[in-house]
This record gives sequence, structure tokens and C-alpha cells, in this order.
Amino acid sequence: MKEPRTERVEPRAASRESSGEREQGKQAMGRSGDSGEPSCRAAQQASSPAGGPVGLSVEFAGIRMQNPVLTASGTFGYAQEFEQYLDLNRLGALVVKTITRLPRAGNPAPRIVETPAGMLNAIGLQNVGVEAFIREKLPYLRRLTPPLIVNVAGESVEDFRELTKRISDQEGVAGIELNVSCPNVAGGLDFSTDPKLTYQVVRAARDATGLPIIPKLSPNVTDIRVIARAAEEAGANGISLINTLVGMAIDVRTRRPKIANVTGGLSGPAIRPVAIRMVWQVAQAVRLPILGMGGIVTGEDAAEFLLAGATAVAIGTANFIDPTNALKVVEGLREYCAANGIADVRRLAGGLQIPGRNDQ
Amino acid sequence: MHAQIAFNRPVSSTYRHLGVAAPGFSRALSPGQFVMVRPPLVVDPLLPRAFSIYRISQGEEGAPIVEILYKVLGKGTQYLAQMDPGQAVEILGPLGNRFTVPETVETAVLVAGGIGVPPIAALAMEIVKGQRRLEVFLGGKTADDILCAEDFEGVGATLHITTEDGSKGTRGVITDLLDSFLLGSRLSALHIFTCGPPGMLAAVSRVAEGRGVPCQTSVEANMACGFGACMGCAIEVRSSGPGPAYKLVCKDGPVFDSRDLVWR
Repeated sequence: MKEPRTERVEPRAASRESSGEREQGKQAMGRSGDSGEPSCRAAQQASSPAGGPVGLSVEFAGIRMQNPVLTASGTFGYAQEFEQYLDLNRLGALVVKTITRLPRAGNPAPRIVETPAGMLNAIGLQNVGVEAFIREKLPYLRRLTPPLIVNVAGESVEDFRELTKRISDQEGVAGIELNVSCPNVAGGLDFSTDPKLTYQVVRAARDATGLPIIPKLSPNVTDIRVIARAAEEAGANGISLINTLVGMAIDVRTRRPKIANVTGGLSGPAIRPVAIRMVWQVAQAVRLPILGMGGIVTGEDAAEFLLAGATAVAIGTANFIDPTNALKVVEGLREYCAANGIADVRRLAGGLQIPGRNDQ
Repeated sequence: MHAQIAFNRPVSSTYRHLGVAAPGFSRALSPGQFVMVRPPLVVDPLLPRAFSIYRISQGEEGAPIVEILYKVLGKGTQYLAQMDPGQAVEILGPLGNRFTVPETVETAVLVAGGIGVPPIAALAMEIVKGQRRLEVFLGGKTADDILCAEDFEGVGATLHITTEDGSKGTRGVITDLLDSFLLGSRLSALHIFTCGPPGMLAAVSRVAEGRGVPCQTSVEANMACGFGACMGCAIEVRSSGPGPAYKLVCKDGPVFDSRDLVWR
């Protein structure tokens, strides 16, 4: 890349990694893709010296996956939008866009705006509604091999109960993620800023299904551990962390907010340190497995979440930037493990070492 | 898709002409379609930028060259402006729908300004092969915004130009000229195709509707992905139900029948 002029040092400083390293990653991915080898085959190998095969399969919330890389709800549509760009069957699991009881038109435009190393969105849960989802989207998703996790949002505890029941009655659903934390809908669907409401919603969903349920929690709270414990007590099987951070941006020329909803959810690499911190805190507070997300772009970003205590990770905003990004994370994670002599990705779990603490 | 900058040169003080050598890219150009372009390895600016395709030419080394014209405005285009031939870029496309010219149209009325001109120039170059009359209206704040005039002249179009500061053509806004042109025309065989800043599109749409002339308009929106996943590029369309209705600029557009959109 050309040397940036002084007023534009910022993009260079925020470069993901040196282009040399990145290029190696891409070439390696190309080879793997060419061979057509399913990523689970490597997972069957037992041990590895540096550079050897790496086991990538994990079990999250009772759901077995060929690798720990999922798609974050709201960033991957209903998967079909991506079929021309990547082999969906190589993903760890699919988490699809939030479904509500009735169709929703979504929020007025503009709905998104770029911010430093991130973006704000206020889509407003635009979706076709649960019945159209079952009719029009589910048959396609069912034909894919990775486990399907359906994300649902309700306006009331009762909504969550009914949606959970309706979805779990369908064939081909491996788990249900509860969107208890959408910051962008009028009336406040953000149940997960209150431990009592979180408990009630998770409990209602628990009573409605035998499938794994995974509440996706809001980071917009004082102490995320309190909410996570409420979810655990109510019978959740896993926890997704984190949803977007509420943010705002103003156009200083027009003096108007940059998105019509005024505030929106911040996502992208800008929020990764916050997500890492919350995963780390929650991993110590509950026994539930964690699906970590927030600004993951590379395999090393994913490794960071696993070290903090996540069992699996989800790729969100990066799907927009590069529709093949999720599979690049799978390959990047494999390379990271191979290069560091890690035979099985599960050994990364909670492997954070804090000098002066772990070694006591 | 991995691609490489073939050229990236200024065409005026604020506009630049970018050519991206993209092996495997479609060689057929559908006027109105767009691409998402980003420099690789960069997280700030984070999102790819949407650009209408101006032309697809044949590169010396065989790969199609996707050509766009862009205005250096914000962080993304500033970054792009300082990239050099040979550097890698990621390009996704062609995306979206296209302008369609009904068989019955005798005179195509093209109205554009600023970065809205390139897809309209692409349309003009396609239309001329069909031997229709071309009336082209270009408007802008200054002479800088009047792009591709030589392309339109090259295909025998009649050009009407306005600038708000009078630095080129007639001083004023383009809808003034458009409206008086429509007044003196046999309206049944006309069809308007337009792309430009939101204010221009709204004004052209009003004039078209007022004169009963069909109008296809290519619109812009903030966009994260370009292929229907983010749902960020919603545009309000006329609703048959009680609440508002939206379509996605990237998938349902960027070209819409102007009567389907809600203009504010």
C-alpha cells in the first residue's frame, strides 16, 4: 500500500495485519478450498506437532459442530444470500436473522452509517415473520449440513414462549437463539438489561422446548455477569455475547443524527475489546458455554475470543465486508493452531494467561 | 474478488476515473448495475463503497477492466484516491438491477448530475445501438459536476447543461430545462432515465409525474454489503398497507420506477 499522507495515517495504523501474513493466509485457504477437503476431516486427527493437522470440531450448548465458526444473527440473512460466494456447508453452524411473530417492515432510512472501524445500524428487525420463515426460508436452510440455530425476538415473554415452541416444532432446527437484546426497536425489546426479565424470557423459552436455547445478551449493562447468571438459572444452554453497543453519530454539517433512528447498534472491530472483556468476565461467572462475537475479522481475532473463554465464535459485520470472511476465519484459526502447536482448538478454551495470576 | 488497480487518475479537481482489472468479471455491461470496492487489509474505513459501473473495457492482459468515476468526498474515497496502479483491491459485482428501455420508446431523456452521470453515460452508449433519439440533461453545482459530455456527444445526443453557479451551460437547475423541453414534446414516446443527487432525483421525479412521463431513477443509499444481507440500504416505497414499506436499494434497485418511491 502506498505510504499514506500525514492526514491519513489512521487507515494504515488500523491495518488488520501485515500484508505478508495476510497473503499467506489467502494462499493457504486457496489450497484447502481446491482440495475440497471437509474441515471436519482434520478434526479427527488426534495430535499434532507444530504444522500438523488441527482438530476444529467443538460442541456448543449440546450442538456438535465441525468447527467453532458460526454466523452472527442479522449479518447473514437466511444464508441463501451468501450461497454464490461461499460453501455454506463448511461453516460450523448457521445462525439466521431474527424472526418475530409477525412480519416487520423495519426502520426508516438511513439505517446504517460507517463509524471508525465499525458501523452503526438500526435495521429494526425487518423480517418476514415466523410463518413465512417456516414456509419460505426453512426448507432451504434444512438442506444445508451445518446445524441451524434460529434467532427469535418477541415483544413479550409470551411471544418468546410461542415463537420458541413454533420453531422447535419444525424439523431441522438444532437450537434457538433468543434475541433479548435488540437495541433498535421502539417499545424496547431489550429484556437483557434486566436480570428478572432475562430470567422470565429464558424460563418461558425453556418451558417451551427441549432444544438448546441460547440467549444473546446486551452489552449495554453495568454488570454483564448478573444477567448471565440469571440466564443460567433460568435454564439456558449457552450464552451469545455480545449484541451491539448502543451508539450515535451526528452529521455536523446538517446537525442531524446520521441514522434515522437517532441511536443504533455499534458493531465491527471497534467493539472487539469490549466483547473480549465481557466474554472473559462471563466465562468466570457461569458454567454455560459462550458463543463469542464482536468485530471478528481474522482467525487470530477468533482465537482471542476462545482464549477469553468462548467455546465458539460468530462472524458478524465482517460478512458484509467480504461474504467469504467466515470461511477465512475457519482457515485462519486452523493456521493459528497449526503454527502454535495446538492439536485441538478446544485446548484454547479459557487459555488466557495473566502473569502473576494463573501461575499462583 | 481479488483485483488490481489498472489506473486511477483525476478527471477534475474532485472527480477521479478508476479502472480495476478484475479477472473473471462479467464483460457484459448492464447500465445501472454497481460494484462494491474496498482496499484489502483495512478496517478503517471498514465498509466497501458502492460505485455505479461506467464502462467495462478490455485490459491489455486480457482481464476485463471495470471502470468507475468517483468523487473524492469522505474517508473511503479519500483512501481510494491515493491508491496506485498495481495495488490490490477487492471488488464485488456486478450487483443490482439495470435500466430497461421499453421497445416503444422513441426518445430517451437522460437526466444526470455528478456521480450520477456514469451509469447514464453507460445507458446512452447502449441506447445508441438501438437508434433512438437521445436528449441528455446534465446538471450540477459547478462545471466540475458535468461529467462525460464527450461520451454523450460521441453518440450523437443532444446535450442540455445547467450549473447552479453558471460556470457551464445555463445558470440554474436542470429541471427548469427539462420541464420546458417536456412541454414542447410529443410525450407518448418519451421515457426518462435519471441518476444524481437526491434533490435532483426528487425534482426530476416530480416533473416526470407532473407531465405524465414514465421515469426510471437510480438511487443511492448507505450500504454495508451490496447483496441483500445487511438490509441497511432500505428505501421507502409506496405502501398498500397501513404502515410504511421498504425495498432494498442493492437488490430491488438501484433502479426503480420513480412512481414507486416515496419522495420527501
